[in-house]
Amino acid sequence: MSSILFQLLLNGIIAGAIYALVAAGFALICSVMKFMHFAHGGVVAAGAYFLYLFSLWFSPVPAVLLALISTILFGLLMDWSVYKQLRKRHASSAVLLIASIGLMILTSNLILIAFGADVKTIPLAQNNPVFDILGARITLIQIIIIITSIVLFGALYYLMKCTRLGKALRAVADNNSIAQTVGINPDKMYLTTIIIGSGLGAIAGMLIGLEQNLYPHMGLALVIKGFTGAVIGGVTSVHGSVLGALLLGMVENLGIWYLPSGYKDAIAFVLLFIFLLVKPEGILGKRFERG
Amino acid sequence: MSIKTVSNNSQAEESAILRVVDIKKSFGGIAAVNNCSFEVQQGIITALIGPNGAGKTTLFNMISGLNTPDSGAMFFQQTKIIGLAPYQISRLGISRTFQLTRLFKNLTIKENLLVAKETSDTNLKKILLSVGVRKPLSTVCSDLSYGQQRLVELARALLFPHSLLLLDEPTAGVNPFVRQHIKKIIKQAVKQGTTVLLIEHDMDFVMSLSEQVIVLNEGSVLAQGTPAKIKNNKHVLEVYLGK
Amino acid sequence: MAFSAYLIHLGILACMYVMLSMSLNLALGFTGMLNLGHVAFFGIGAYITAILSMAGLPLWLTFIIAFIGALLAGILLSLPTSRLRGDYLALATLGFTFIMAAIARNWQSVTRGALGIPGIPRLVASNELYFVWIGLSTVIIASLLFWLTRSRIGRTLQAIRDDELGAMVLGKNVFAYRMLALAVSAGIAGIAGFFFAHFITFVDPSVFSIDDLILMFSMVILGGLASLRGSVIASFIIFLLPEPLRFIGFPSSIVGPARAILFALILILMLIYKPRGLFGKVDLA
Repeated sequence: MSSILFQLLLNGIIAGAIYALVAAGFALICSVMKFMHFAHGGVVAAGAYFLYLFSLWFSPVPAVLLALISTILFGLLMDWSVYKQLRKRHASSAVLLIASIGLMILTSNLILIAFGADVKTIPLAQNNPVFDILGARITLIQIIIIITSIVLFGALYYLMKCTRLGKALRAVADNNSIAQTVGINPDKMYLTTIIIGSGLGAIAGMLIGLEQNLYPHMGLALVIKGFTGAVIGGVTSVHGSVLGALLLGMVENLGIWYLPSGYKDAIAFVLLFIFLLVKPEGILGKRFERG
Repeated sequence: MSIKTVSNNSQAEESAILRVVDIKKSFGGIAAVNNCSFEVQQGIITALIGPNGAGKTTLFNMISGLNTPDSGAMFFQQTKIIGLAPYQISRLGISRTFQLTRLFKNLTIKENLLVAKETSDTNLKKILLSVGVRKPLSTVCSDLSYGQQRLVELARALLFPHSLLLLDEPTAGVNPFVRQHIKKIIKQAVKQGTTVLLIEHDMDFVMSLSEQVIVLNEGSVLAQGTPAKIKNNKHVLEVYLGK
Repeated sequence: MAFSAYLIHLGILACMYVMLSMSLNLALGFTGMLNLGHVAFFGIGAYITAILSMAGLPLWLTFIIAFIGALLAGILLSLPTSRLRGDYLALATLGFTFIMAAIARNWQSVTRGALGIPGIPRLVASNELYFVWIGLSTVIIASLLFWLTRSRIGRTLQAIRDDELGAMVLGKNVFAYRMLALAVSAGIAGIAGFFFAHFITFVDPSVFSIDDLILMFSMVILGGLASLRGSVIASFIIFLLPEPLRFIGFPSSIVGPARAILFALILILMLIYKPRGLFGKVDLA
């Protein structure tokens, strides 16, 4: 009995780590750039599919690097071609949200056309030994996911709290106009945010692609989990979003102890709904203000 | 424009149309309004003055129901209004304008006025003219100048069926000519039975227009009385000159 | 012969989208509610129609229940979201769509889950007659909406969109009006779902598609917020635009996503370069 519980707990941590990787990028962009970058799901999916593509031609390490760079470029392209144009025209965050949903749809359908609707696996993932820890099973890739998340979140935390860049990003997130008066260039900060956010999304996508299968609409499913986690923890708080996403992963996997597993996704939506109604700023966030 | 008839003895009766009793309101630990109590007499012009941050607009918002006090009571014509929704409070007969003019920007002047009261074009044109806006009813409000918008907002507030009119800095940002015009409009409204409570920073305007002045400082009432009394009040002078 | 049948087919679907975009415009353009749950109301109408007509209920009864069911869903959604605005309202309504999709996928006993409900009886035997029915309904609904938006109620809804606080201090029960807008908008979407179910004769969880939501939004934005005439015209334009793709010889597996890409592009380009669309006089705030 308890080994099943432990397995569910472990699954919850793994799922939570995945969602947290998605949520971190989403929340970073949301807090600095003041809108909900729904198309982050597209970035995550792009990460997965780029890795798939490059791993067909290159060995693992160059494939990962190429996928990372390509995905970041993809994220930058989205920002430059759409978000920047909207920012120039003083579009409201509502407009940016709708545009980002449009971009999300655009991305998943582009993937559908380019790669087809069938489910794919990344060849790298084929060699994936399983380990036994205290009666629960965990694969090598899952271990890598957990370790990578810990390292990345640690690095992100360090970046935000201890470096000048991090302070500048937080200044822009807190109050754009005032940040400018101390010489911070908002456009440069937005660019940096997109790069870091897309990078996080790329890594999330690659890890998810290795752990699970790839399908064109995976981005949508993941960004939903990601922003649900962010709402739970606080969309304006990066570490809050990470915690919220972890919580979501745990609740989802422990929840199917009681509910039929088909309702796993529904748990996320119900939590999303409840939090939006009761505490929209999340556990750790501040009330969302349009700059 | 009032719908209530006023008895001939209204001056003598000095009935309080609005009673604010021991109101407290804090925002994040800072008390914006602190044990504030006063009465507004029916049928006269009362001014609410005080330094910035004294809590005047917060009080207005609580009277309108847009904010809820932490404690205390408020009565409009003997009806308890705390806890009522804003639309219920305004339907009791309280109309107001805002510090920063709020109009339905995408709607025409006519549509803005109709939301306040469903009435004939003739009546609409009449009230528009009475506030001195010489623009066709079909003008979209975003096309009006700031001064014109203020006047249309005033017309709209006057049109809405009310017995108490709350004006939040009605002359802010307008030229002296318009200021005089607004003074005339307010006097006219009172003549027809409306009670006016206004927030103002322009001392000349306040002293020449109002019959009662309430001075607010740091969230509570510092002094209340006729303009003459207030002008010579030691504490009031301290608060204003000390700034 | 075959081409005219194709046109009738298009006409039927276009009418459905006219209903959907006009009703979305009521909530979005006239009342200022960023409602991403609109496609959920459509799906609810479709599913109610499917389930009830397979259970043997007479046509007029399923129509009424589908309409009321969707309307109630609108009322239901407006309750918990009454204090949400802007992005948060968008997320909550989007969450509602996902919840409905999850229910459709998992409530196997009623909805048959991912298998869907096939074999829904056709409304009438011929497509031409179907087009008449749906066309007539669209005209009636359009007239009702034109009347509603020009009435006192429509004026109040627009006032609420422009300045909620201002409407409140002028004695308007904003909560009730928003609920009304959402309910009417939902009910009409449900009717569109009714016609969809009887035309396609198959309903599955894919009716709750975000792709379709984007399509509806692009129609409303292109036509212009708070312009019903714009929604009608834009619905036809956007719906008919990708049709030539079928004839260029793309495989059908590409046509679907290509259409979605086209709609998304139109939406994004409109938002950037012409956010007021063809006939709109209001910005999306």
